[in-house]
Amino acid sequence: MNMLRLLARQNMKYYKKRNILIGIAVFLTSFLVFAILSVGVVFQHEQYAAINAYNPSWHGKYTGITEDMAAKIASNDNVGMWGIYKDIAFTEISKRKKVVYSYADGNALDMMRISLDKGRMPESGNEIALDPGAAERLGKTVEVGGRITLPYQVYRNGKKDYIQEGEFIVTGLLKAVDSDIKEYYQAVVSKELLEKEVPPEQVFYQFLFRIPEDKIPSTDVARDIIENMAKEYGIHEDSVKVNSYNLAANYADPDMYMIIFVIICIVILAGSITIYSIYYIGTIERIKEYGRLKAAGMTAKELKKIVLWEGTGIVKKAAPAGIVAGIIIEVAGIIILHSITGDWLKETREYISYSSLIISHIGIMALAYVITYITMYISIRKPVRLVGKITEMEAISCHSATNNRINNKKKKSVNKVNISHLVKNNLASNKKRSIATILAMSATGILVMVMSTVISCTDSRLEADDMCHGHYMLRQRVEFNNEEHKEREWQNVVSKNPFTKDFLKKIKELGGVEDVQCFDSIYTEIKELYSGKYEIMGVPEENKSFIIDNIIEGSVSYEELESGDKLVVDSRAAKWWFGGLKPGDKITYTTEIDGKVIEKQAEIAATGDFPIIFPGFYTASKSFKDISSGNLCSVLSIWGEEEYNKELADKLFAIEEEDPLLMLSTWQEQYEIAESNTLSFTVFLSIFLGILGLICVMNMVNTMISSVQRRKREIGMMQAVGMTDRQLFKMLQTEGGFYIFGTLFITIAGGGLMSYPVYRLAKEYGILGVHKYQFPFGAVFVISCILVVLEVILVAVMSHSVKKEAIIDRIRFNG
Amino acid sequence: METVVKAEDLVKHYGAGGNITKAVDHVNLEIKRGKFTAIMGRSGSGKSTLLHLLGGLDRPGSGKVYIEGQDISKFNSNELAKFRREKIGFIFQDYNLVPSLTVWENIILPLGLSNIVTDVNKITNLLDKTGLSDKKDAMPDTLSGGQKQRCAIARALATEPAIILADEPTGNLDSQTEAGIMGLLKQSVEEYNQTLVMITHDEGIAHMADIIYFIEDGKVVDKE
Repeated sequence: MNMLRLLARQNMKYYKKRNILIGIAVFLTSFLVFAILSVGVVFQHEQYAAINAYNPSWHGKYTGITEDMAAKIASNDNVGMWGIYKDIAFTEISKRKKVVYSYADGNALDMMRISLDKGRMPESGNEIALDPGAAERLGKTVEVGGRITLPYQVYRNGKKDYIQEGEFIVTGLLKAVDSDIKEYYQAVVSKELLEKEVPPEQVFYQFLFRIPEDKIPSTDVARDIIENMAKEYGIHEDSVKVNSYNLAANYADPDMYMIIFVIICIVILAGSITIYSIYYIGTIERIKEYGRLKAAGMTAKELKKIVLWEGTGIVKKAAPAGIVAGIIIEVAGIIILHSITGDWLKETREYISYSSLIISHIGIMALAYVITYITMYISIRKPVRLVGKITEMEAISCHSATNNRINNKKKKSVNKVNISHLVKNNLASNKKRSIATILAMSATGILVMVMSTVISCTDSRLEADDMCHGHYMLRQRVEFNNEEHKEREWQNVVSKNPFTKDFLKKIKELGGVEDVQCFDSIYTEIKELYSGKYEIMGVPEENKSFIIDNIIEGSVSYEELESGDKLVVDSRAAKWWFGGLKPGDKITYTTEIDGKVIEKQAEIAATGDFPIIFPGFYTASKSFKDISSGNLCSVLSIWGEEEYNKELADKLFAIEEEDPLLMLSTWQEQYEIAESNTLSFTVFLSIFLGILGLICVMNMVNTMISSVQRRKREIGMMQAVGMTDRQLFKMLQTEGGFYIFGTLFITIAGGGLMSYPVYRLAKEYGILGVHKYQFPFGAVFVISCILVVLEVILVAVMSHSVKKEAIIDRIRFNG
Repeated sequence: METVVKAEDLVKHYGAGGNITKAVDHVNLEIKRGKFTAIMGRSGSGKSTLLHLLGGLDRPGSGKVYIEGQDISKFNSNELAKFRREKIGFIFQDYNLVPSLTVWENIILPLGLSNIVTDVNKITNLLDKTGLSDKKDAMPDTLSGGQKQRCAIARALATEPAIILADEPTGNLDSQTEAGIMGLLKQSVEEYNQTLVMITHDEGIAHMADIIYFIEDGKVVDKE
């Protein structure tokens, strides 16, 4: 064997203790890199499989398309699979559930994931395939080949027409959908029925299409194709929908790669600092040995090779071990997750591409190994350079060579050498390492904070607040153009407004009610916006803070709103539905009430953050005075003495049940929905943050331990000249405190600065109902607690370990 | 003459089972105030261990060490540390300076640990005496061996301790520097009426002492 390799191998055996320490750092680095990548990949695979199992598979959707236009668009090279569908009619089962009858061609059915459980799809006449749950809810029995009579209202002449009855031949039963998840049941009818029921000039389809696979290198490109095609065919942007879930699940997402890249960089940084600090200390402690080798005739290049081989030798053993541990943990995690989540993953699993999962895991293993190798290489670059510079003289000089590369400059002496000076001195003499450690720990902390911001902004309570103002919310059931239910027309509801003073009194007197707030509404058409009805909400003076406190851009006083020529608009509604209205824009709205038509102009004075369940336009109630002197109260926000009181909820539901024009929602129900929606997201992020936290902790543990190990002798010297255990403890504690508070300061400052743009981004894209910005105090608290507890434990352990050894043994300590 | 250091049946063994090294084996000795006591012996005879036990740097297996009448083997580590910085000055062969502190800061370190305000004039005098005036702000690693040892002596003298324990302070130095260091030590001890206990191999140095203890296999075998 080559002498250099033999020496490197012998060194590895001789310095077993130190190499085990480095090996642990390498093991953890490879484990973390593998775990982060594989957890990300597995989660992504499962999430994407779930999307592919349950979500529509179309990439783009254009609404309001004629059959001719559909054929034209279909001929475009960017359109692969395409299909059309149209909702023809519906049957109202209850206030919250209905059956929707649609015509859809085969491709559209495929892309909408409407599939048969039994039978076949309708082909002609009055054939129908429907969800058996729908028939059940309508009190009908259904079987393939049987007949069923159903009442339904056709969307015709821009209205929901009168209820008509029709007899259908059941050709198939659709796969049942959990009625608790969906608000409607699906029924599929034939094209003939569509043509029979809806005048041809009123038939506008939804055009669904997929872009050919070879034309989608990334989600961004797909989005551009869909939007550009719409422009090409003169389709209004409001009629364009991109199925970003499907795109993200199946194509490369540059943003995702960037996130993974940043996280891996943080792991490399943390790993490098950890390995580097152990290595560097080990090297300076062996300067004499290297000097002797040089004196014996070894060249600087050969010395460097030995150090490099020692390092890579550790990687060869520890990195695969870390990767294997990662695989074991991952498999165990998946088994546990699947046993917890039960059946719902079964269907999803069919869509998991196990071959690609295995291939990506082989890739991850290779990548984790390469990244760990790079980490080691980065870590030992400086020690290798240092070894290259060692002179033969250092072999024969006194052992103080350990430190002679650290302090060789003059500096101004102080007249008080107390504990804080010793701490300052130690940190200053290792300035680069101290800063690098704090920065690496802070980088992790900032990432934790940024991710926690998303978690805290997706607070289920906030989401529930977004969907229900008050613990219980009673609304009028207003509907337009429903021929069968004219009583739901706003003018009719208002003329017999159920929200009378007596009604309010009745509600207030229900046991457990603390407060009832009433909001007024008018329904308008707005010239500048798409045709349709827009609700403007009037907020009474006693609730004026509801508007004023939630303004985020622009300014207006409640008194100015009373004049009626100013409005406040919800920022999300403005962006999503109101064509990007902003402060300064003017709108003209028309409302029809008490037999008169009133047209008014108003300026958007400000935008704000309001519950998304509300209509989006806000003003003062008084501004409606010149529109109507009647009772315009449309929403009652009911605040209970507690968040949820079943007895009170039952009473309110009984009131709702009595009146077909009332709709009740409860905060609790919305909270439970939000909780289940955010659970998997939160679990994933928490695991992710836990892993990152581990890096953070590992780094700090190593920094503090190596700081003491390196100065064992120095500490012994100070104890020999009179440093007490208490002073030693204080010194270690203050040093730890510097790392803790330095890290916390940068984490909070950096995390605070970065978390707001992330929140804005999440809000803009409507991620998990992110609505209100919430500084992640929870994360700060958890990070602070972990760091402080860790410091206390570490200092206690280190000071105990120092004390365990007699002072004289430490003074003699020579590495 | 007053006994300032007294060892009573002092024992320190290392190892276990059949592999026990008796570093200090039932040693009894007395050291008188203001005297220069040398401890001589071959390498591995246990002289350094004995010095460390006398100075409270190490704990005996059994036996007692009295300093100025106080049994330091009863002290806990905090009490021992405080006692050391008040009563004992150490000088080591390897100097044991704190590498991240300047010469001046190394000297005033025991004062700082005791929360004693530095008497700048006194320490400047000490620097002058040790010939380190021009090295006040220098870092230890830039000093020669002799300068480092002078710095260590200055540190040992800074708190004006009653006892100076020196473990072969000239072991790493050339003969000229050795003479200078010894001169400095003797002068300081005489000036402050301190007790100097020194381990040495060097017979020449040992003969400067008032009393010489000879150690062999952890036992005091002779006294001159």
